Amino acid sequence: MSFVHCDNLVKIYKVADLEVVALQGVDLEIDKGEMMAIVGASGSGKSSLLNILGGLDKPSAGKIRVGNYDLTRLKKREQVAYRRKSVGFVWQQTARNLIPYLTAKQNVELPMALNRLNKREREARAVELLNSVGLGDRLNHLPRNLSGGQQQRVAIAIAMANFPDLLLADEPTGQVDSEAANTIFDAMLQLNQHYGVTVVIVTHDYTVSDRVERVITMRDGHMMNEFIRDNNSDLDPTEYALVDRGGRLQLPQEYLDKLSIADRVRLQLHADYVAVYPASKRESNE
Amino acid sequence: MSFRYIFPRLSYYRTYFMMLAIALSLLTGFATLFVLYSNVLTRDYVTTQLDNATPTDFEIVIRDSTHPIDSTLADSLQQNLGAVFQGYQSTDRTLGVTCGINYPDPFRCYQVAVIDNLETLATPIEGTFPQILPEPLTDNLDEPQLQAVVMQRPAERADVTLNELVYFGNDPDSTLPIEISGIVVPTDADDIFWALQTNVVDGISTPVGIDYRNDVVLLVTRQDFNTLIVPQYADNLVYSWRITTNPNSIEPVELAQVQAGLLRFEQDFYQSHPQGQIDNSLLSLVTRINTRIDTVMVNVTTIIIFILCVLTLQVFYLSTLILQAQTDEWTTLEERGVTKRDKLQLQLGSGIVVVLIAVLLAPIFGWIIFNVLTRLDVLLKAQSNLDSLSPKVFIWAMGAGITGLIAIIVPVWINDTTQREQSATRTQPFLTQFYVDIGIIVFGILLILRTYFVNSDNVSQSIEALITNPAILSETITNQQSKPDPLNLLGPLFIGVGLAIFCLRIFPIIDVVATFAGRRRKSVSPEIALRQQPTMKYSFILLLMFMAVIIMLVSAIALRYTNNQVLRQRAISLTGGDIRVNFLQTATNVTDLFAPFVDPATQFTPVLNLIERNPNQLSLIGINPETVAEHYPEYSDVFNAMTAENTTALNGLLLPEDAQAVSMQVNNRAEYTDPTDLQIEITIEDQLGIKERLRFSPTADPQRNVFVEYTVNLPVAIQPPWRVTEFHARTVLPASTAFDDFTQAIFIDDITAITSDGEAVLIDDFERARLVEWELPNRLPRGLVAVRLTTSPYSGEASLRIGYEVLEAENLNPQFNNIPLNSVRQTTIPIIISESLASTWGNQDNNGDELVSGLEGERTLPSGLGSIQLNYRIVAVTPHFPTLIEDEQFIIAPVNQLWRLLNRNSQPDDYYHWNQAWINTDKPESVEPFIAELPTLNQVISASETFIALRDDPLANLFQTLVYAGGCMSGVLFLLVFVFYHSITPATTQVHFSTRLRFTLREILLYILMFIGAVGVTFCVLVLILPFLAFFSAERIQMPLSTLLLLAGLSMFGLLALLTVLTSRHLSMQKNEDA
Repeated sequence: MSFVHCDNLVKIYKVADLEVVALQGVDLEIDKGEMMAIVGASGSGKSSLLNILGGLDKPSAGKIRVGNYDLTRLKKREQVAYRRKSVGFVWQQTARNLIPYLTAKQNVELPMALNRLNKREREARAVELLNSVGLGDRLNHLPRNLSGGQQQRVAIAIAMANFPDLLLADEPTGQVDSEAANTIFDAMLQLNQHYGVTVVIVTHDYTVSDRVERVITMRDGHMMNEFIRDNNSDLDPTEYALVDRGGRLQLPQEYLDKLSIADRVRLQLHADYVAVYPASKRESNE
Repeated sequence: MSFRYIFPRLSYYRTYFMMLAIALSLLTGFATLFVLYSNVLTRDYVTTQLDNATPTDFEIVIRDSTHPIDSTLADSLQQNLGAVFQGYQSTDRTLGVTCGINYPDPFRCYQVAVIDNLETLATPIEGTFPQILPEPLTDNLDEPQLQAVVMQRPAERADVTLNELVYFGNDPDSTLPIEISGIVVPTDADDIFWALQTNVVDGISTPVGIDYRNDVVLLVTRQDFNTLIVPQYADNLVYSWRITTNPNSIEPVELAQVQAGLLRFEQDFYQSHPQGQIDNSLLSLVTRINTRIDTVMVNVTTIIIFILCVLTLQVFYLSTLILQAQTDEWTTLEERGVTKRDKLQLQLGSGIVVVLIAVLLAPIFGWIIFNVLTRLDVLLKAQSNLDSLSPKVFIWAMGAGITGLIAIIVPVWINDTTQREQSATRTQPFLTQFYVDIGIIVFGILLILRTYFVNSDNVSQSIEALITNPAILSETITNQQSKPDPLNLLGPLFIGVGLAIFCLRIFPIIDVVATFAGRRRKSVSPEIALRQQPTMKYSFILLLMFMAVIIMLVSAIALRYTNNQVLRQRAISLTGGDIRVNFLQTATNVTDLFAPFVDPATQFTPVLNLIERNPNQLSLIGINPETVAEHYPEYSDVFNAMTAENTTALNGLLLPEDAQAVSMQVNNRAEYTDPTDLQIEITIEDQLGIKERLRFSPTADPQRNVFVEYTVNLPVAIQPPWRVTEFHARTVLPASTAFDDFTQAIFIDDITAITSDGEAVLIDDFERARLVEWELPNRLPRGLVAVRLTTSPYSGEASLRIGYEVLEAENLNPQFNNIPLNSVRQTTIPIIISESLASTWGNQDNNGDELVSGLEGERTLPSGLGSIQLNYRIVAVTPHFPTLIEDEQFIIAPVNQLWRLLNRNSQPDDYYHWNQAWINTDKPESVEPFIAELPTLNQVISASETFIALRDDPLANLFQTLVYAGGCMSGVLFLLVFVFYHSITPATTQVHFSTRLRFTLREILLYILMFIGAVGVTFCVLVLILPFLAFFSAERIQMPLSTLLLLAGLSMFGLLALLTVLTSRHLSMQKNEDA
């Protein structure tokens, strides 16, 4: 059984009499200890999905389960406990990750303090986490005295403070240079490998596929493609198109463009595969 | 959340918290200001009241007729009043009078009294203070048993002489012969002690029949009183203490303690003297002052709580904005698993620190606000200094601080600060759910109706009146005078709040209208702009604050304007004109009096002789109708009518101006054979009506049936010439006289005046028939005599014959009383009266019909010298008269007649000679030097000074100045919030000004609609509230033009504020959408 299970997730924002559909029946399975990314352009619905995964928002319809938590049925108190113990966040804006008036160590200690960990344990674990992200020498620095990359690494340490099962990162490298981005990914990878935490990274940067095992692309609230990397191979990751529960298949836009596929395709069932052909003009006209 | 995060947090957000601290300090400072300011004004008021009180107001007199005053009460006074208690003066005396065994010779009676420390209070002008006499060897009544002194005036009136032996007691066996050892006068004539001892100082004048008996009080030693008087008159004594207090020791702030102390003392007194009496003038004074303070403070406290609520709302709003600016922090905390309780704890910790700072700074802020607002004339300049810091200051500051703390915490409680708030389904604002707004409005209306019905006498009639004429509600509310009932204010406040909340319902309607505008222009829909705002309630609160500021300022200005207008009118009314001149001349033509001082370049009109004026009751105004017509040609018809009617000739026998004595021939012819003692007196009257009664002395031994000359010297007239108006004859007979069929005739002839150069001027020889001027009075000695008045020839010449006979003898005193010949006829005085008076008198005397010109009647009027009988004929009824206010009740009469009328009860040492002139002038300052030269000038009062004195009445100003101050403070706080909002908006929206401006211009229609809604509601609330302000000014509230301009200015400001705020919020939404 997968660690994260999303079943036909729908999210609709209602503004006045207008409805904006952010998620249109998303199905997603993530295994425990997996490090994966969700990629898409602005407005594709990836951040909405992340908010729902983090227990910060609720879906309009569908089901979502993370570990033992059924996020659609969480009560307020359970929601707080879920956020406190089971999930960690890293956001693009550093201001949203760190309490500006606390030092790096205090920032890391805060979630533990909320989790009623004793002081000695808190301090030890904070030092350990900051060491693990390479900031052992910046324990007592205020956020404003840290670089953007360092702030994000502190954010990762904070997110890991209570050793959550799920680490959610929303554009974690969006505001840092590539060198810092590498460090941040390395840190997350290390934590993933060391602590077995499930990592979900949301980004619009497709190159992230080089760094994670699995990448899912989103568009208009739908899951589009899935790329899976074989860690034992240097080859490009294999691209998969996702078939939804109704058997619907979405083809990548570039494929559509390249083959001038407009409104219909021709399918041909073979013994072990399905062939998809562009429809002829006549077929299209029909 | 650990409190160790609080100080780093405060340090990091120091700008925000500093703003919050300033806002809270304004809140706590205003609470402090209220305490300091109300204390200082109350102290000013108390000081003024104490300064204006008469010395008798500080007196306490206790009496008991059963036993001497318990001396331990002095300890009670000391204990309960402390330094306020100064001392006491014990005075014991016999009750009633005892006339003595020889009464009616002399014709006087006595009281015996003892005054402790008499030697310090009085000074002998003849003889010495009483001494203890040795016990008499015999019971001979010619040997005095004790000594006494009497005061000079009763001694003179009753003919008491030094060393005279008077007899105290009606029973010869117990009669005490008392020797008059001295005649004394008060050492200090102004001593308040003597003012309360009129019996002793002036004697007692007791009417006996139609004559007066002058009684005296004999002041004896304490020892004689205790040994000789008390044993005999134990049941007929009164013991009293006059307790003096020290006004300078009464601390205004301790007035309540003084009141409580006085009440405790009264309890102590009644405990030891159950049948005693207290005249506690000091308690009355203190209670009156305290009651006024309490009455005012009820209203002031109510409005202060309202103002503090408005200020708290602004702190709440500021706190909400700060919370918004800290969204990242709160979101981060929430994502880390912080509970609402943790958030509250964190905010509470920060808030407590800020509140503590604000509470500690409160007195300083209070002091600064006081000084600034005083300089700006918003607050009254106090005479006293501000209080030192009392616990009450900190209690109010703490109260305001705690309220502020709640305002800081509540936004955390009610706001979900996560950034996903925008995804929440937009719900109807809580306050408009369940029809809370409608409920509040209905409740407010019920409270207003309650006020109306409570003040209506007949509820069923009131309901009918309300249905037929709803405007009567406003009238009734306006006409209520200073009702200290806080529920009166709550009505409009509830409606105001309800209407404000109702705005939340109106906004969607505005949305709909705006949608059309937006669609037509195909721009970004304003509707979306509004609806997408997650925090639209902030705009609503901003509107509420804006409305509250305007309402408070307009109310305060309207109150001040109305007060000033009313007080200015009242000042002129009280003054009588722009200037009032009090002088002690009894000139009948004030125009002549002022003529030498008139500067031709000045608008200067001596208006009227004012004789007695009381704007709250009835003014009596004397004029010279012939001269005053020149100044008021528009009233010439009225004055001419009065002149035509003012023809009453002065009655009586007119004496020459320089007459110094009067003589007459008197013949006493009695049929009774025993010798009779005939006393002849006359009453003379001068031009002012001042009367004096003089007794003639015979120039030779009077014999029966023979004319004997009687003479009397005339005193100096206040305003000559004298006229002889009454004649009195008294026949004294022995006690054994039998009265049956007794007849007597007195003949008077050749009344002659002796002038200063010795010339004898014959006044009347009765050769002509002048009996018409000599009338017998209506009131004769009780059923005993019938009097005939004729002129009869006597020895060939006509004389005035006064004949009388006894019809029955029972109960007749052994002397005949006066038989006055009253030559004064009741004259009818032509008067002009006001419409108001015509209506009042008509209601009382004329079956409700207003009095009209031509009516005659009579009224008893009060005057400073007792009531007077006015026989009037109305020559005109006028709605208004120059210098008199509308609705004033006044009588205008010819001044010469009015003088005589008012002096009908006068005496030579107590007559009506006060005079006033009211002067209307555009330049009082240029007239005053001329007035200063006026002879016998007593006092000059200008209306402007009266106005300032009225305007500066501390308590009357407390309410409106505090509302004004509250409006200013609220305005400052509003600006602070507004500026703060705009200091953080660019940071959160990151939108350039030019972009904002472009959007602003495109969406202006929407904001105009919202603005109209806000101003409309504001006006509704103002219309509702303004009538209720009459509770504080006792007048219909007037709106000055400047207030309307201010309102317009503020509204424009509000419009701009709203525009900017809403646009900013709109752009904030745009940015989020873009993101």
